[in-house]
Amino acid sequence: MQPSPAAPPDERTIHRLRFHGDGGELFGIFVVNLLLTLLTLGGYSFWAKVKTRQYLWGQTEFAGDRFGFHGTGKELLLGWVQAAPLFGGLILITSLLLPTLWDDPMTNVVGQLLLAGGFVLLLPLAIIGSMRYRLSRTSWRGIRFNFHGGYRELFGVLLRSFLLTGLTLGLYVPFYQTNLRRFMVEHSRFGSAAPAFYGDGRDLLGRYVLTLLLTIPTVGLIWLWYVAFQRRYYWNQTCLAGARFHCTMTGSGLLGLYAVNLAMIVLSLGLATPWVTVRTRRFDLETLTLQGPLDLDAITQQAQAATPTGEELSGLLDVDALSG
Amino acid sequence: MRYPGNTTTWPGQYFDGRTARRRPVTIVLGPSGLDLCFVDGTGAFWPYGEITQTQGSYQNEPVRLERGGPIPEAVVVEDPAFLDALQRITTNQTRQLAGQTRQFAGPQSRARLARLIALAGAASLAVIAGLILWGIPALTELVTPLIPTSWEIALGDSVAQQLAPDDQRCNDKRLQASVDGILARLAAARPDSPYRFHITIVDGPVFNAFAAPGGQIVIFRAMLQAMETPEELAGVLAHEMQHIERRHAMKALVRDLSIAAIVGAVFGDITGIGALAVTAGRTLTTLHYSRDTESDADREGLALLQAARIDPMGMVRFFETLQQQEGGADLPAYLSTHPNTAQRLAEMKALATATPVPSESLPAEPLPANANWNEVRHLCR
Repeated sequence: MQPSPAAPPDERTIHRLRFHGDGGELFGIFVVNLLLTLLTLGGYSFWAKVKTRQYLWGQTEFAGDRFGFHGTGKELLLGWVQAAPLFGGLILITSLLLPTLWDDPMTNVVGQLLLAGGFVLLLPLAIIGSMRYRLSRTSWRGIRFNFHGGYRELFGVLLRSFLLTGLTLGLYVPFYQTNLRRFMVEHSRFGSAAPAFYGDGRDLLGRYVLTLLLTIPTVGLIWLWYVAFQRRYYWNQTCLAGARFHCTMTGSGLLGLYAVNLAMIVLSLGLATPWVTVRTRRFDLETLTLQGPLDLDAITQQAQAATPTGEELSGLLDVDALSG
Repeated sequence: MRYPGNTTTWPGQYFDGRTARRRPVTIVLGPSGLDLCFVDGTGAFWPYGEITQTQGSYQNEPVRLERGGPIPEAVVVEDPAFLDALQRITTNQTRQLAGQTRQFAGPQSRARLARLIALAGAASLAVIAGLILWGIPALTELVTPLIPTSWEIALGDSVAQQLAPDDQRCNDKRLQASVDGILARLAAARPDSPYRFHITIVDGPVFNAFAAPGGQIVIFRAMLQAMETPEELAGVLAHEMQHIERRHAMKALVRDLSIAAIVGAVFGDITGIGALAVTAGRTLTTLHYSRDTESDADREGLALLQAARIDPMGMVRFFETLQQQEGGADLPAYLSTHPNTAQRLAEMKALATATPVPSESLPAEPLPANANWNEVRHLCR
């Protein structure tokens, strides 16, 4: 008897994310990475990054299948070799070369302005580059993710946000965050499947103002509830391949997570970091499901070539595009 | 789930790398490769030499085997016993195919993991200790001489500009001329120095003096006023000049940058060059030296005083003044950057008496500033 190759999709199907990682095993990876990085005076750090990601991705399960990370240490090293001169050159020219050539206090000011300008121009490059790299090296069921966001569009989003946030004395922030989220989500792909995002900053504005007003009376803790609210809102407004994400994260859940994480880190003098990573991943993933008839068979491979330069550039600029 | 009675047949999932479809597959471990049998009756053969294991070497991780590229086909098997069987078959193979060892590896046992962590942890601590005690000092000695003097001077000028802004400087011409005279005497004793020294007097209540790289010395009014004789000033200047001459600030900078680079690399996300810039700024603005470096500058400073035929007891007396202040309620800033006064004083006294130069046959030449020092030192304000 031949079973049918795929069961018909169920309208009420709930697809879960799970994290299977183990703190002890991750600690083992950290310690070995530390040793090899020290022995190579930092050279091994690219391979260390890959080892850690391979573990974290491989321990992440969605709907019964694991994710895969396909980056290599060699390509990250090459990415760094390309990104570092861009970044270092900017600092060198504006902070060292310009003041040496023209001995004038104004040159310092001009140099700092050029440096800031350079960072602003590099920032979108770093965000897009790191999204493209990470997604293109991530797979699930053998299908790669990828990212198609363009520099110009992101630069526009960031510039408009910067100006409007200033003009509205900060009230534009929820709109800015939502626009950035839309840019990130709508340009991401899982194979041929594109997610859709229906978020609107207006839905967050009331909550944002309330949180601002309650910041001082709650010594800032109210922001945990805002972060959870925002996360729920963003995911619940996201659809993929006929299914909708559903996030159940709560402020009290976040408070519990962070309080215990902090205690663990402080009491162990930082040695508990791998266990904290595992707890945090588990919390993030287990509050997120994808609900509905997920039509996977229609999704086809759309692999994208992406260089790791942006990934390393974002490391140098200290932006983490995938946070949140 | 293993098929009973047949340990070489395993259920798995197949992904073709073209769609997200999951296809059940039955895998048979053959002598030279995997036989894949699909439910529709079709099949495939994967020679062991073409297979890469990408997952399954950790606990709780199904075995994932991939073939081809750049986007590979893959089979995933949940049962961890599959890997053992695969290893058994392929180790027989690899005995014939030299150089292909450990193509497939399963998770380590808890005990092995614990041993590995203990071993790697201990080795890491040893490497850190080695780097701090020998590696970084050796690297510093190696790299610092390669830095061009012109860079050092440009850097020092901008540091001095930040620490002593134009509007806080004492601009009294007589005071500056007096102080420059003392400096010139000291500099004349070392004609082959690559640096041209320059003193800036800052009109501030801080009891401090420091040397930026490249020849810039900054001294604060409060310290200048506390000096009873110009020989005391000469002592402090000789000390600071030796910091510059011996490139102590540059060495501290190179040392801190290498530490930051290694720490940055180890902790990955802490940004390499960004952190470096911050470290460099901190090193240069505190200009804080180690005890060894201070002793070094004391010793060489004393030798410089003697070479310039300036009475070294001025330097000693200044340290005695410092020591008296040390007991006081407000610790002068100079002490926080120049620690251990008592010990340094003892060392300097010993040195000054061991080689009594200037001596009776070759007496000290009084400094021209002696004539009106009490007036001159108060000219700033």
